[in-house]
Amino acid sequence: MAQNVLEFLERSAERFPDSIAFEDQEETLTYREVREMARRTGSAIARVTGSVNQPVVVFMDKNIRSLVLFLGTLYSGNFYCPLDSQMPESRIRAILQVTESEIILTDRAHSGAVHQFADGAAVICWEDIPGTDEDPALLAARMSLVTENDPLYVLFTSGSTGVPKGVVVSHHVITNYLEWLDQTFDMDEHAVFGNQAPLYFDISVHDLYGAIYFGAKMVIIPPALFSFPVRLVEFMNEKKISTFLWVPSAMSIVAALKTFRELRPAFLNLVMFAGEVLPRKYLDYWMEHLPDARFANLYGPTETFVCTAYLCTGQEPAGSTMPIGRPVRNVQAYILDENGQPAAKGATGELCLAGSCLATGYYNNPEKTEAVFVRNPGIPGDPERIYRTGDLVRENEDGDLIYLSRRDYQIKHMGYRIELGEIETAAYAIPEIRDCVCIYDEKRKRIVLYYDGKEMDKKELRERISSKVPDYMVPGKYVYLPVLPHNANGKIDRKALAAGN
Amino acid sequence: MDKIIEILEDLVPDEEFAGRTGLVDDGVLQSIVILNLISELDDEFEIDISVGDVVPENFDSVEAIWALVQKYQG
Repeated sequence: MAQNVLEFLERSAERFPDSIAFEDQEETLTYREVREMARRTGSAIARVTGSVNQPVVVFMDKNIRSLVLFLGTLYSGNFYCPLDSQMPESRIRAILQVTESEIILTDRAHSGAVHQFADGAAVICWEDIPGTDEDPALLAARMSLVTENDPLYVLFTSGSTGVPKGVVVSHHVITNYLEWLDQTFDMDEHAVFGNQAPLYFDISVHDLYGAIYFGAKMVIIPPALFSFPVRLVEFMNEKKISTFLWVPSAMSIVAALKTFRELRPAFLNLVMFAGEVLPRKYLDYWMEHLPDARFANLYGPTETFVCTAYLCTGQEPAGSTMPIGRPVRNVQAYILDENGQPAAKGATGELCLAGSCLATGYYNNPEKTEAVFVRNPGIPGDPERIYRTGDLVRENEDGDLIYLSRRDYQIKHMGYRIELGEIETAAYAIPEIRDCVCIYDEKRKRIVLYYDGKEMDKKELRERISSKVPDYMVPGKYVYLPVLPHNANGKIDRKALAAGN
Repeated sequence: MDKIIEILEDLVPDEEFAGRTGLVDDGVLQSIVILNLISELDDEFEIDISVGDVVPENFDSVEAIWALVQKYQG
């Protein structure tokens, strides 16, 4: 197995030097150019610092130059922390405080802003890289100090206390995933990955290293196109996009507006979703119109990258939730009950994961790390760490995992243990409802259903939900909003709704 | 046109829409907003906007949206 993901870049640059590796609205870069610019970047970093395995912040707009800078940090023996120039300044400052990065990579357009919060860090601009000589001996020396267990990136997720947590992921996690991808789907250098996710969101890690692994192309889809589905499909056809991994919200508008009446994606053969629950009615639309494409539902918190996958068959019962499937290679999944013991077959419990998917932990935060990366209570004496996802799952008859809800969304109401996700699934089956979320109002002891789509008569809505869930699960209040709030990653913002409760 | 401004302000409460242009470039019209805007326009004006008309040119300003609605009403 590869020690360092750069081995894949070296391989693809040798096999396909003149193939386009990355493309955005402004430019394209071939594998030869990517390798050369990344090695120059690595040399520039290595001349400034003697450190290895330290975080290097990359502060950019979303573009392919950022990708080269990510790879450059790896050539210097360090790892990267992507920051987006659109992030709120308070969040940028909070992250910089945690990383204490010695070096910040950016471009001229942002160097002014970066100098304001650089706090003594060296700033290297993209525009300086072409004039920087590559130092192969220096790079080789630094990279020889990096093992497969050393960090590849640190990505920040929101912490419950408001201080962002940096999840550190090692080379071996991504290498293991790529080998699973290779064994599971027959992709090659002709694949074109259509990127949707922000570069600070780990879904984009799939696009970046998936393309590099196969010597294929990653195309950044202009974010504005996700509001205009016909233009989106036109773009996908123009760029011959053959595969993508998107958050489900990104495909919902395509289905909701029945886009494929006008135009269908002509080159798509592998469609994957991750990051939130897959709304079945929209997925069905895609599957019906792309009968030759394969569809997969992937699952994985940032702390475990992609750890389970379900390959859709099209035979799943209508209206049911799509499973999150089974662990990918070298990953073990345990379902533990409230006492940390293995749950009975088919019973609900917390999903815990072990094996080659696990993050190293939270950067500079041993307390938080120890709270969720723990010894397996189900197997006494097992030295291996498991990650407690906080997600409730159960196994179906076929041995596939079904995601139910966050553990935090499991409530006790009128003496019953209720998973709010189950009520949401019932509400999603109502055609007038586009998106919905249930929140428990602790003060008034009632379940509140927030929804968008078409405003419905409360009595009728109540009756329709009553027909699907037991009485004690029927929400006590219904709130129609023109648009449910979404966070930066495109997921429904539960916190904002709960705060306004 | 006032009705369109009212609908937009309801969907994106923090923004001013009177006389507004450049909605697409400003990133105001996230996909979820477009989706809701279309269903509101369909309901309010009893029209059925086709996905072929859901293109940036028709949504870049309040006037462009109004022109789109009038096209369907005409």
